[in-house]
Amino acid sequence: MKVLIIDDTPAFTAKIGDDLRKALDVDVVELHHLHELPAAVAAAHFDVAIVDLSFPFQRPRSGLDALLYFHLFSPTTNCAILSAADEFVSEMICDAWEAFDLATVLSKTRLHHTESVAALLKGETVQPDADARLLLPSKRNPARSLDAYVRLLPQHRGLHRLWRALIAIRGDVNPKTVAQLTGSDDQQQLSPSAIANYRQLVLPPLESHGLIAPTLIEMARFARRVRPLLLHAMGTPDLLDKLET
Amino acid sequence: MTGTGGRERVDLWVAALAGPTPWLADPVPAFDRAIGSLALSASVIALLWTVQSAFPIASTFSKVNLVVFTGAWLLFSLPTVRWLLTRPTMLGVTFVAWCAVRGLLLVVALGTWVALSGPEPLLRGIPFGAAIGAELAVTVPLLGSHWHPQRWVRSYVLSTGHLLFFISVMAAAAIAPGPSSSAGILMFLVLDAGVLTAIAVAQGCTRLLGQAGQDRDRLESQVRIREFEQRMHWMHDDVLGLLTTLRHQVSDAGLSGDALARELIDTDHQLREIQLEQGLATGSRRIFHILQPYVRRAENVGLRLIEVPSLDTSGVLVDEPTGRLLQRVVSCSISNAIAAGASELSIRVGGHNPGVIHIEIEDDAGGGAVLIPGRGLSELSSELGGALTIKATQRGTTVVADIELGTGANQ
Repeated sequence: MKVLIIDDTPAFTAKIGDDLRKALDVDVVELHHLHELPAAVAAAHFDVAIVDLSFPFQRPRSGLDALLYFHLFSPTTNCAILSAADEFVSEMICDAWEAFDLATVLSKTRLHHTESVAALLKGETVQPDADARLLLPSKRNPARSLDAYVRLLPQHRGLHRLWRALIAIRGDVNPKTVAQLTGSDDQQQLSPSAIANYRQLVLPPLESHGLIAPTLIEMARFARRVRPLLLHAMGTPDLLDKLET
Repeated sequence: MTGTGGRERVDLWVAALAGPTPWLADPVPAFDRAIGSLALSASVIALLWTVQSAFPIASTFSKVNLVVFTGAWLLFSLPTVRWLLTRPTMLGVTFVAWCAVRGLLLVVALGTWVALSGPEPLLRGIPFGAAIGAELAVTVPLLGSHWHPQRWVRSYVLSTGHLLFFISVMAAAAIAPGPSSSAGILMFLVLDAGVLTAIAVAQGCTRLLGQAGQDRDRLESQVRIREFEQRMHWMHDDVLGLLTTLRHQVSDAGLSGDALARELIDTDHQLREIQLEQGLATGSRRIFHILQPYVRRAENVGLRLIEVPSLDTSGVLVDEPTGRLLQRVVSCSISNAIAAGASELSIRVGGHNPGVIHIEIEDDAGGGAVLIPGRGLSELSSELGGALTIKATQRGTTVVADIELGTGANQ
């Protein structure tokens, strides 16, 4: 049996890894960088993957990238989230839970996860830890599933450019600054009024994500948070190559 | 249409007239309000001037009407503005109705004044320009465009259309002088007066608005930094105090591994309570933020959480007083359950009635029965009266509380 733990805190992965090796006699692989995942998945099949969501020093990537990678390239791996389940990742936990068929959510505030991982290895259902359960809906909303993210890209190709600009934008967010990021060598920039029009088009599907008539700032925040899911919906998922620094 | 969507549409309409800042900001900068009023008034004057020029309706106006309509407008505007400023969230139908009545009174009052004053034809371009310039100065930045009106003088004067118009008018005056060519020259001058006034007003308003915006941003930034520094200072004080206490306990009492682990769990919990305290101080919190520190403490000391609310109910946002009351109920109930030696705990949150948070905390050891007079659950029970009850179950007790949203302020 093989278990993969991906978390950017080496001391944490080492502690969980040691616990699992001692208690369950399993082969545990510890990763600390998201770009290490493709090679690890190519080298072996993992029965269980424990994925942290927050990678503050590997932005714009997050644990959602890793979960999507497993979904695409190792769909039989039983994935679980490992998270502090605090305020700053509460929305992302919900995004991940509703987008993917995850096995459970393990809380970092608990000292031991051996029992939960053992149950996951046996294919049993494991209830998410209590502090994470508070952050999860009683039922998964189909309008928030991975496939449903295409609803945020209705018809117009310009919407792809809008979402890419919202993912990339930093600092001041307004129609003009967003429009400035929609151009490329072979494409003219969208106009600020086109940005406003495209925003109107995605307001109805955004309501499923709890965004009621959001501002562009809120849309940019959402786009950065669910970046891997949006890129997948656009047909250009992040394949977790090593980022240039 | 959702409430927020409706509000947004109202905002757009108001922005089309004078921008949302003069009417919707909280607090409203006096300068913004003045600029907004100028833009709105100038737009109306221009409109009326046009109407009055097209239709000779001056005979229907009198000075008495002017006084009556102006007085009515002032009386209607001032108290309403004060009322709106104290209720920045009161929008929707009320706000639209207020705008409509106020606008109608203003239109009639200004129309009467314009009709009685009899302006010269050439000057009609100037209020048009002022109206358009002020309007653009306020509205264009709201649409996200950073513009530079000072560049427009050159663009306008040297534009193909302007030059062609000028050449045509001059040629007509040279070839066929007469009333028609004079009318053409007059039209040209009216247009130039209007456009140049618009550019000048837009430039002036943009500069003033930019300056006012910078001043406001600077002030807000200073306030935010001061508040942040103060909160950080208090938080660090609390954390350092906790660490000092822990150090003394370890060095003085010579704690064993297990005892030290328990102390660390307590310290962890106290730090999370400090974090919650900081969160509540911002004015509102979701129910899960309030429950999480206590749920974690229960799990860390070995209780099994049989039932906790899902995001459907724990995602509800509560105001600070309600949050603090909810926090006391949860804190006392779970502390009592731990003290009573409970091994299982269930927390249920639901809304049987709108505006009321119904919470049940059930244990298997009778924590709810541990009442120390004047403290904890006992104190809460006497404060909340019938809103907090303790029921005996087969294995323990259930603390049930109904907390009305907003009523925590009285506790």
